[in-house]
Amino acid sequence: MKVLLDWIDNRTGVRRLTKEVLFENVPGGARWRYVWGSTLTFAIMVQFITGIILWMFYSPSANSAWESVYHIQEKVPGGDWLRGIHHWTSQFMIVLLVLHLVQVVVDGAYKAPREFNFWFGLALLGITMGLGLTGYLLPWDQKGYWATEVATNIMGNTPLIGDQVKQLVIGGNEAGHYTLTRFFALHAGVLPGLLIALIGLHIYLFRKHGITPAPRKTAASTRHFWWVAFLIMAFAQAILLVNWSALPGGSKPMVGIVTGVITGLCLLRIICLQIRRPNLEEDDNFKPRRGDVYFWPDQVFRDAIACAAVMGGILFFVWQFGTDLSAPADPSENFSAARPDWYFMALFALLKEFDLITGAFVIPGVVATIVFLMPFFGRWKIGHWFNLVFLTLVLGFFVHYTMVAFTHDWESEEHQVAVAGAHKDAERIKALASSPDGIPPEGAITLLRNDPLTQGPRLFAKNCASCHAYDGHNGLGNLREDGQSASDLHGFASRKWVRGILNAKTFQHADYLGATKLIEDSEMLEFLTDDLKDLDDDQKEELELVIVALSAEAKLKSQFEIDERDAELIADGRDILGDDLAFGCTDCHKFHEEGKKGPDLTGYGSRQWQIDFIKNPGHKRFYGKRNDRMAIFGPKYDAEGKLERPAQLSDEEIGLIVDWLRGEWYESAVGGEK
Amino acid sequence: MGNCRPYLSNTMSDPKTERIEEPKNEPLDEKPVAPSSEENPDSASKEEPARRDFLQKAGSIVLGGAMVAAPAAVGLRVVSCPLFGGKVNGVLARLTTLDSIVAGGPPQAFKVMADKTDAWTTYKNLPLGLVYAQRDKEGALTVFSASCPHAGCAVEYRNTQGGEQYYCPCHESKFNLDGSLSPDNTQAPRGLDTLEVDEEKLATGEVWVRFRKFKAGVPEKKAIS
Repeated sequence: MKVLLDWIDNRTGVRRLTKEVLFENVPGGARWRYVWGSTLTFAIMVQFITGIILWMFYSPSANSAWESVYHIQEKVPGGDWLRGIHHWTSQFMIVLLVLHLVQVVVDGAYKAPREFNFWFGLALLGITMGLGLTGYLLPWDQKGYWATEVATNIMGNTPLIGDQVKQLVIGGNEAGHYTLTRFFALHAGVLPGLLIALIGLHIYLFRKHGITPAPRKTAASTRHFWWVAFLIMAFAQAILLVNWSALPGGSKPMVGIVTGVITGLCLLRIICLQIRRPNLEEDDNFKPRRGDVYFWPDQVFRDAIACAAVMGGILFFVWQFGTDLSAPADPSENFSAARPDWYFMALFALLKEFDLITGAFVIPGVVATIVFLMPFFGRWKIGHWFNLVFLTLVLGFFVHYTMVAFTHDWESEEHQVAVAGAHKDAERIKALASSPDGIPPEGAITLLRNDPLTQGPRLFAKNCASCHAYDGHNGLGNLREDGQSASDLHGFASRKWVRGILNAKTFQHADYLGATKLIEDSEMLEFLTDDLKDLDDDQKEELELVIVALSAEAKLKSQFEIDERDAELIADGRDILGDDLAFGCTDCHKFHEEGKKGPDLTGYGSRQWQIDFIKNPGHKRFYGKRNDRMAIFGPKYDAEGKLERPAQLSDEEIGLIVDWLRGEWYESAVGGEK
Repeated sequence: MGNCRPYLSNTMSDPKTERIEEPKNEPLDEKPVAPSSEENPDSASKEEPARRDFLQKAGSIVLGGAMVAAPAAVGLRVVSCPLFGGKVNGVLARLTTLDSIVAGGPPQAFKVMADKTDAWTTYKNLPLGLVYAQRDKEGALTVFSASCPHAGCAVEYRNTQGGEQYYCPCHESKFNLDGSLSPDNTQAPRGLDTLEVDEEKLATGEVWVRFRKFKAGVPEKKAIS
């Protein structure tokens, strides 16, 4: 073994290298505040490992990107954890980078001769944000698509070169295949390459200059540290308290407990230090300065614990919150829930208060320039203080604007509805994609576009809800403020519905025909009020048979079982319906072979009946000239049969509305949609 | 490795005056400092630093290793998903009607068309591969997979002066018309793979086969899909 090691060492000098890496001098002893650089290196390592494996599953194209991400997330064992770790580590990296920056500025480690290292660090921050921005788009879901749309449009407003930059980045004027291939090459090739190179330089310079000697640690400095920690936590708690009502309900206990415990621990430490204050201060007088140590193992041990804490946090978030995958990107489906990743939310809020150039370029540009110049200001003591104050202000404003943006969203009912809608679509597409039919080669978006449950309510709200209602709302859940002027189509043609329309009282209710002109001089209403007034028990039974039989014409999915069960009753009911000596329905209605005129009851409420009706309610088969306001949604012809105007709704669209009204949509065998 | 304990830097002066000059380490050959330097101010006894030293090293290695191993383990599990595939049973596909294959005639090549789910995409009626179907003079039907049992190239049917045979253009494996190895075959370890024909469907005059892949390069026929 030793011979082998000697041989390797002789050829490679690996021992010397290891020594150089491990036996770095840490002046003043190992410290917890030095762990940030190591945690970042660790996080980047995690990103490389998980990223390369995600790469093996990812397909950068507009009709397979979402599909491949869905596949790894939902179908590959462990895939959700892999993607989760990659996602949440990127979130943690931003926080760790800021902590690292704060530590460097507070400790004065940015001053000469370490200017270049400071700038490399800033560049690394920029690259990491670039990785976040490009990675956000790759799943090609609604969230990523619309956030990138905003980000690239802002980019397009860069003075002088904006248009060209935008075209280069997204590969044209519109997002598509090229955008994904380019973003993917940036995300998995260019930016990680730059990251590695800069980290190499960063660590090289860091080792070249050594660790900035720390000031002496005293009882007072320890106390001050904990006071600052306590005040920061108290500030955070105050912000939380102000926004408490706006917090999402589910997160309240966790947020409260975590911040509470941390604040409590800080306070406990302060009390502890205060009690022992005289002792500790006396110690200061004769305790010698803490000695230097090597990087290994004193600092490494602290670093390892910090990395474990970071990993624990990441895993906790993956476990608790998972990783979002909204519906596949659809440029035709506006997505009002569009938001960037949280660390861009402050910029997002800035854009609401300032114009595009000021908010996206001038202010961030000035801040970046000042931060860039910090090493020069740091030459003077007052400059160092300026830097500290400036950094505090920047971070303060960052927190403030982030909170402003989130509070606005939490309090906005409109945004909550949009988020709920987005969530619904995301759940629905996952159900559709896991159906036995799978995802077609054209992509998962077609599943959602052809799904009655998704499109039916939207089309209804847009085209029907100005007159009709659906269970009291407009199809999308918005309750009608004014009374509707046509029937409520929830459960149309079901037994309950037919029972309602065959009752004089409910017939006149707005949920049926009460709000339309059809009840004026209505023969039907006359029939209901006069002829069905004093029915004996036999007749009542017969009427019930008619109801059951008429409703069975619709062949509703929801009544499939009871229709099957009541097959004999339905046959009886059909006979009564067609018998002009019974209730005389066919005096005014057509029903299969019986009767001639009036609203056709043959196949009443069936798919084809409803489609025909919507296409032309004024057809003599339906309401004829008595049609009240309802538009002809199919193509309109004039008296000579010449096309007057094309269809308002395509056959597919009408089909989607009808299928939705009839409850015909895919439901997964287990659980399923509501 | 026990000799790299904390050591006391005597050269350290006030940090403020040190700002510009580089606190560079001594030459590496002189490091690490010998274990006898017991000036560690934090230590109360002689054993404690050694134990703490060991605990720190062990902790660093175990903890650090575990932290890198966690995402790597998840990654390995995910990457190795093809190894945990379910049972394989091929896919049943319709070729043609029995009548359209002439008894005693030359083999006919068919593209096998069936639905297929490839990772995240489900295709309808996708060409999956090539087969040869032939009937002998008595009318008995045989269907061969066109995949060469040597290395998986597609075999061709040839009718030359030497007679009829299946021939693989890659490594020149040769098969008789009944699928068995030709006497001048040099490479293929077994004859052409026959595919199972659905008897029930065949009785109604329809030719359906169970299309599947077999392990190449070995004498025995072993289904792998």
